[in-house]
Parts: sequence; structure tokens; C-alpha cells
Amino acid sequence: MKSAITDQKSPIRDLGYKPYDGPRLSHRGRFQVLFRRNLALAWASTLVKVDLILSMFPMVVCAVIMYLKLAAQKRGLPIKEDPGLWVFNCIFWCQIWFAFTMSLLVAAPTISADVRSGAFQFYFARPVSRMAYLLGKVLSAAVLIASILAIPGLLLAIMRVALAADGGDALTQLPLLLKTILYSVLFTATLILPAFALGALSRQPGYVQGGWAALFFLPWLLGEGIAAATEIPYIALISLPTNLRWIGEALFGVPSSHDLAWYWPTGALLLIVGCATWWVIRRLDRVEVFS
Amino acid sequence: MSETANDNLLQLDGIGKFYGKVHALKEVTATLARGTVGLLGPNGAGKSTLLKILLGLLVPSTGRAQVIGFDAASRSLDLRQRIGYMPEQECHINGLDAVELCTYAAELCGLPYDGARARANSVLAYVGLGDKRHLKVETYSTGQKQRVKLAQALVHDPELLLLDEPTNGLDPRGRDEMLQLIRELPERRGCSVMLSSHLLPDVEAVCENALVLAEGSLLFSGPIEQLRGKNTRYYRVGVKESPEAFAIALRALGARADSAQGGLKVELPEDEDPDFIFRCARDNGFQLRHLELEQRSFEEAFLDLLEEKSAA
Repeated sequence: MKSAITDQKSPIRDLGYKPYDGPRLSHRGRFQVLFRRNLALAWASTLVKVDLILSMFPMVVCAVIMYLKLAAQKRGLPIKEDPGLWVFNCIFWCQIWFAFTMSLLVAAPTISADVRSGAFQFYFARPVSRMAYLLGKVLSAAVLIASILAIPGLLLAIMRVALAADGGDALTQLPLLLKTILYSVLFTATLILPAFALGALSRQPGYVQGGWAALFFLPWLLGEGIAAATEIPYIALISLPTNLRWIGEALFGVPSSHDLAWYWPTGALLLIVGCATWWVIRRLDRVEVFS
Repeated sequence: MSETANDNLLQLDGIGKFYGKVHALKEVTATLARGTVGLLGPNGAGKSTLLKILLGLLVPSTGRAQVIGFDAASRSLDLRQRIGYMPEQECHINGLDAVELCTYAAELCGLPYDGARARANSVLAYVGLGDKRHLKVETYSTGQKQRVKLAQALVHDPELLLLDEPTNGLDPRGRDEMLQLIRELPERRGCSVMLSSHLLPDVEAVCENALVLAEGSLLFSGPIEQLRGKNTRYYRVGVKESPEAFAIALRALGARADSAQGGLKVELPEDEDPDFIFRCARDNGFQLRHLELEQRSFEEAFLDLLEEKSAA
């Protein structure tokens, strides 16, 4: 029955084929390949580039105002200066929109798009563990989102330290750098892991993006609205942005509009992010690579 | 690496798999040598479950699977580094051209970037996509996508290539070319091939061995030639004169005999061997000219196996 195949020459151009005898890298670094490739794929998107570039403009405005205030202060004008408030306002009120948009572009649709295009077979038929896949994908999204959140905040903090009146003033401003890093990491995790968890629920990236926007904004509006109406602040803990705001206010020493201690929003946020992480790992473990 | 010195392609020892109460695979035991193997069976036979176990993506509920010398459950990552898998469904990453896709595939199998890229170019030329390798995969025709799937499975130089319905959606010429490529792989690339397909002619054209499953049970494993001859009781018989009279004599002893191409096609009675025909000829004074086992077609043999299974 070999004659079932025609004798027509197949289009093989085997240009000096040799078996591969070069080095093979360890399985442990496999997430780095996923991270690098996923970052390159995300960067190829025009929307991602536009979002990243636009996200730097609020920082420029904040930096100019901060510089003018410091200059006026040095001339003896009675201007109150609060660098923590500037960094917090820049990250929370300005960067949140760009960071959320980035999470919509690079975090929310990741898993559903991979399931839809059959890429799971591409990854998992190879020596790629589910954790390496998740780590590579999460880290690549984290780099982009953290850039939007941390770069402006850190530059403002660095600028404040650089423009310090003296060495003592500079030293007192140094913790601002650490606070900015800590806040950016928490903010980034909050924008990525719940989005990934939602992405593991559907094969339709569009639904996931819509669901993620609803999950982010609706509890914000409803939670804060009901909390204000009932004067029960705990209700607002269902909102991711509210928790981030309250944590930021506590971290940067910004006057707060509520009476809850910092550990309430921190606990609520860690609980939500933790559950999202557990969910995405569970879904990835159970997903069928091929059927 | 000493484990890979094992000459067996597969060694399945009582492999079973339950999905809840569903018994998807039932105590499958088989050993197959390296080469080309066809994995056959109707829908729900357990082919996909077996493929997942062979790739180390599923741990069997019972038994143990060794693939190219590696335990599939405990050394799945090492195993997948040496296996290439061509899926039935589309599998590409939007936005990547064929070279980038194959490079990515090789990097995921542990090749450094430069080596991976060189291999990607080479393997795309091998499958006949050399001049189109810089086009985005989503713009390819069905046939070209099948070739890219084959290329990404081959790029890291696997010892075993698992092919799931590789000719799906191809026109006759594309199918012939794909089968030709696959058939040449063991010789040109030195890898073994396991082909899972519903198309028996595809398996027959490419494979030396077959593994036949039905309802989770193993019906046959071994050379296809043996499958054709397995359990057959049909013989082609030539006699010097009066075949009709010999047919009557055979029928009188319980055999079934029909005229066919100048001779007789004889089905032996249960529990009889070919000596039965010699005895009948001697006792009735007929002179035999030839006696040969009637080879069934692969399809007949496969259908007979399934019939035996359903009858059991």
C-alpha cells in the first residue's frame, strides 16, 4: 500500500540537515523564554506603545509643578510642600487609568486568547510547566504595568531627593523611594492577577476585557456610594481601587477620608489577589491542553 | 541519557485511566519498537487519552508508560523535550511569522536563540515553506498551516514525533505531499513517528506498526502485515481440475468455498487449520496447485477487529 502515495517528488529541500547536537538549556529557566517572547509580542502592539508613551505626560506636569513649588519655597514663599501627596496623586489619580488600560490590553485577554488560538497545545506539548507558563505571562504583563506606575512615581521621588535643600532633607525624603516601589508592586499585582483569573474563565478575550472593566469600576462606584450612604466604610472594601487608594493614603501619609486602619484595605486586597492567584492556578491545572 | 538507550519506542504496562466513573483506558499493555506506528480507533476509543499519557500531560490511574526510555509520569518535562507533537487543531500564536513561531518552539524545548533560529530556517525549508517563512502564520492556507505545524514539531530534533490527523483539511495533492514528508522522516531525520488518524489509508501508507484501540481496550499492537493476516481463515486454493467438485467436497466438511479468479476462496471451519484443505484434497483425490493465505485489506482487518470487539 505504500504506492498509495504518488511518486511525485515532495517539495523537500533538505539543505544539509544535521541532527542538533548543541546545548539545551535547563527547564528551570523556561519562564524566561515565555517572558521575553510575551513582552516582545505585547510591544508589537501600537495600542501598548501609545498607552505607555501617553502615561508619561502626567508625570511631566507633576514634575514641573513640583519643581516650581520647590523653587518658590527656596525663595522664601510660604508654600506648603508635600512630596508624598504628589507621588500618591500621580500614581493613584493619574497613572491608574493608563495602568488599567494596559491591564486590559496585556493581562486580561492573555489566557483566553491562548485557549482560543490553540496556543496551549503549542506551550504544553513542550517541556513547559503550568507554573512556568503563568510566571512568564504574569511577569511580562507586570513589567509593562509596573513601568506605568513606578517610573513616574520613582522619577518624582528621585527629583524630590535631588532637589533637596541639604543632605538632611535628602535623607528624610529617601523612604519615599521605597514606598513608591512597594505601592507600585502592590498596585501591579492588583491589576494583573484578578485580570488573569477572569481570563481563565472564558475563551472570548472581548468578554474577559468587558468583565474586567466591570469588576474594576462597578464595585468602586457601588461600594463607595453605599458606604457613604450607610456610613459603613467596610462596604467599600469590595472595591479594588478603593483599597488601593486607602493603602496609598496610609503609606504616603496623605490625609484620609475614612476611619479604617490600614490593615483593613490591605487585608481585603491581599485576600482578593490571593483568591485570584489560587483560581488561576487551579484553572490552569485543569484546563485541557487538547481534546 | 542512559535511559534513552532503550530500543523500545513504547512500553505500556497495564495503563488505565478513569475520568470519574468513565473508564477511558483499560489495562493497556503493549511494547512497540522504534519506527512508524499508527494509532487507530473509532471516536471515544481512548486515543487522545493515550496521547496525553504519552506526552506526560496525564498521569495514568493504573500502570506505567515508558516512552523512548523515559517514564511518562515522573519525567514528563525530559520526555517532552524529546518529543514533537503536531496537533490536529490550529495552534499558532497570532502576530508571529513562521520563522519566529518555530524559533519560539525550539527555544521552549531548550535550544538557545541562535541555534533555534538556524533550526527554524532549516526545518521550514525542509517542509517546503522556505520562501514563505516570513509571512504571518494566520495568513497561510490550510495546507501551509499543516506544514508549519509539522515544522514546529520537528524543529528541536525530536526522537519521537506524535502526529494527530496530519492530513486534516488537505486536498489530495497536499495530502500526498504531507504523507510523503512524514514517510521520509524516519530515514532523513532518524525519528520515530506515531500517527493518530481516522484515515486508514494514511496510516497504511506511512506506518509499519499499528496500535488499535476501541472503547479504551487494546485490540491489536504489532506490525500491520500481521494485523492483515490476524485470525484470517480465508485461503485462496487452486486445484488441477474441477474446482467446483472440490468446492462441493469442502462444503460437505463444513468449510465455505466460493469460486474466485480461476480458483477457490475457502473459509475454514472453526478450529481448523490449513491441513484441513490438504486432507480434503487427499481424501477426495484432488491435486492442489497452490494454497495461499488470503490477505485482507487493512480496512477489512480493522473492521473485523472492531466487529470481534463488539461481538465480545
